[in-house]
Amino acid sequence: MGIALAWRNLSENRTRFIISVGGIALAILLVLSLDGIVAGSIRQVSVYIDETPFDLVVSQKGVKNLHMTTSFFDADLVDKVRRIDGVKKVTTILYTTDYLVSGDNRSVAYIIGYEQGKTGGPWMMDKGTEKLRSGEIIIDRDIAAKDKLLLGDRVTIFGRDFKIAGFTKGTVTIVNSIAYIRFDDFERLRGLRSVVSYAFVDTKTGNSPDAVMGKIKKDITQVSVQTKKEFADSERKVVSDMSADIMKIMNLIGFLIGMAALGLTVYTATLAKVREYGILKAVGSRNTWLFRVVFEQAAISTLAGTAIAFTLVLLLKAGLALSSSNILIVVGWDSFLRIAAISMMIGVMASAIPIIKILRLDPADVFRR
Amino acid sequence: MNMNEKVIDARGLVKTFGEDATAVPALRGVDFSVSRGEVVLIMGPSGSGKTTLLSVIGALLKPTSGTVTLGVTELTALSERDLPDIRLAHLGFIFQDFNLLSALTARENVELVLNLAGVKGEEGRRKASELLKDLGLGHRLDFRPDKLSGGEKQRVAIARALANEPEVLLCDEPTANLDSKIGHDIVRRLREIAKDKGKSVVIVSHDTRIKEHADRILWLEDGKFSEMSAMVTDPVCGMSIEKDKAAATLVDSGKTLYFCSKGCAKEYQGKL
Ligand SMILES: Nc1ncnc2c1ncn2[C@@H]1O[C@H](COP(=O)(O)OP(=O)(O)OP(=O)(O)O)[C@@H](O)[C@H]1O
Ligand SMILES: [Mg+2]
Repeated sequence: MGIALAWRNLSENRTRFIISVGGIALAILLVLSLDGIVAGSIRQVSVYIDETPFDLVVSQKGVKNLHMTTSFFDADLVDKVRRIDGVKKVTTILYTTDYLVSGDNRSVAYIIGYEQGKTGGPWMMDKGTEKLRSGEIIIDRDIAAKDKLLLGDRVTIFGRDFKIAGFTKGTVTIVNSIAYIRFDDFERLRGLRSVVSYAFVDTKTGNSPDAVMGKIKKDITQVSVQTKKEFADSERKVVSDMSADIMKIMNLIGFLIGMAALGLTVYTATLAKVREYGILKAVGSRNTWLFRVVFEQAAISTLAGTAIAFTLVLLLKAGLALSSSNILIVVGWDSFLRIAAISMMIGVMASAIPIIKILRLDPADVFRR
Repeated sequence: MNMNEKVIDARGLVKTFGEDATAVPALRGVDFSVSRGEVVLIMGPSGSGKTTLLSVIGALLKPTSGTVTLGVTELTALSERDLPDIRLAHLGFIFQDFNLLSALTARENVELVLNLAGVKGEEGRRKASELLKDLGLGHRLDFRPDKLSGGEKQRVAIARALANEPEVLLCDEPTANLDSKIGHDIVRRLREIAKDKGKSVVIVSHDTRIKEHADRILWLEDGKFSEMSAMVTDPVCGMSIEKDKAAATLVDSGKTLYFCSKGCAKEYQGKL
C-alpha cells in the first residue's frame, strides 16, 4: 500500500472536511427525504385496497381504480361471478367521492357503502362501532380531530346529515380520507337499484387467482377484473402520474444543490493544493495519478455525505413512525442505490473542473514564487 | 568512479518566452555540462535566466532550441509523455521554499516519491526512514512540515530528492530561506552527497558565501555565461560587472578599480 494522499489531504483540515461532508449530506438528505416522502405518500394512496382482504376485484368495464372515477355495474353479474369455478366468496361495495362537510370545513373523502360485517368495511377502528345503523357514518379520527368532531356529532354527505358512530385510524392519504356508511343508505340516497360499484372476490384455496380471473374475464365480458396488486398499482399510478412532474423538479433541485455543494468542496480542496500538485508534477508524478487523488477525495467526501444522509433519513423515518404523524417515508434499497449512484455521478462530475486545472498546471511553475 | 564522465551535457540552449513584440529571451545560446560527483554553482543577477536554465536541464521546460543530454538519453528529443518518468528516476529537485506536502509527515513526503516510482509498503517506509536518518532527522520522522525548522525542512527535501537515487540534484536557491549557518550546513551536506554518492549537484544561488563549497562557479548574465575571471565588483555600489564593459576605471594605490557608471566613479573620487 502506498501513501493515501487523498485521505491525508482531507483529514489535514478536519473542519473543512466536516463542513463539506455536511453540505453534501444535507443535499443528499434533501433529495432522499423528498423522494421518500413522495414515495411514501403515493404508497399510502392505495391504503384502502391494500388493507381490504380480497384476491380479485370486479369493476365496471374499463374502470381500473378508485381515484377520480365511478364504477357501477349490474348486481346480477355478481351472482354470475359467484357461480364461477374456484370462487369462494364475493362481497360488494358502493363507492363515490364526495365532500365531507361539517360547518365551514369541507374535505374530500372516499365514501364507501359496505355490507355490515363483510369485506370492504373499516379494518382498524379507533373508537366507536363499525356496526352502523341507518343514518350513521364512520370517519377518520384525524379528520375528526381537525374539525373538532366527537362521536355523536353530525357531518353532511350527499346533502344529508349523518351521525358519527365511529372513528377509524390510518385512513387519511395525501388526496383524501375514507368515510363509511351502510350499503343500503348509499343505495337509497343515490337512488340506486340493483347495482354495485366493486365486487371483491376471494378464491378457493388450490385455485390460482390468475386462473379464476381468466375464467371471469371469459364468461362475464361486461365487467373488468383485476388482481389486488393490479388494482393497487393503478390506484397509485393515477396519483404518481399527477405528481411526477413536481417530483422531477424537486429531484432536479436537490441534484443541483448537491452538485453545487460537492463541486465547491472538491474544487476548493483542489485549489488549496494546487501548488502541491505542481510540485508532484515536477518531481515526476503523472497526471493520471493526480486525477486519482482528486477523484478519491471526491469519492470519500461523497460516500461520507451519502452515508450520513442515509442514516439521518432512517432516523427521520423512525421518528415519524413514533410520532402520530401521517407522513410515511419510503426508502427502499432501490432508491438508496439510485441516489448513491447519482451522488457518485455528481462526485465524478464535480472532479472534472479541478482535473482540468491540474492538467493545465505547468510543472516548471514550481520554481516560480 | 569516473569523475570526468559528463552526466548532463547541454548544447546551444536558447529559450525565448512569448513571441514577437513581447518575446523575452531568457537563454541565448548556453553550453553547460556537469560531471559525476561535481558541484557546480551558477550565479548571476536577477532575471539572467538561472531558473530557466535549471528548468530546461531538469526536463521541466522545453528549450526553444538546443539539446540536453542526460547520460546517453537526449531529453530534448523525448516526448512530453516520457518526461515525468525521467524526472522521477534521474533528477532530484530542491527548492528555495522547500515545497514539502503539508498533509504528510517527513517520512511520508519521502515515501510518496518512492511510491510513485513503484517502491511501496514496508520497503518504501524503510528506505524513507533511512534517508532521513542519514540526514540527521531520525527524531523527526513523524513530524509534519509545519512542526519542522527551515533547515529540517530542507533536509527532508534533500532526502526526497535523493529517494529514487537520481544522478543529478538541481537546486534553486536552496539557502535563500535559511540563516547563514544553516545554509552552510545544507550546502556542505549537498557537497558530501556529491562526493560520497557520486551525484552531480547544480546549485543556483545569489549567496556568495557558498562559493567555497563549489568545484566550479559559473556566471550567467543576460542569458549567457561570461567568464568568472572577467567579472569585477564596483567598489561603490557593489554590483558585479564585466571588466571590459566597465563605464569607468580608476587606479588607486596601484590597483585598478572598475565602475558600473561614471556616477560611481565620481562618488569614489569624491571620497578620496
Ligand atoms: N514563464 C515565463 N514567461 C515569460 N517570461 C519568463 C518566464 N519565466 C521567466 N521569464 C523571463 O525570463 C527571464 C529569466 O528569468 P529567470 O527566472 O530564469 O531568472 P533568474 O536568473 O532565475 O532570476 P532570479 O535570480 O530573480 O530568480 C526573466 O526576464 C523573466 O522575466
Ligand atoms: Mg530564479
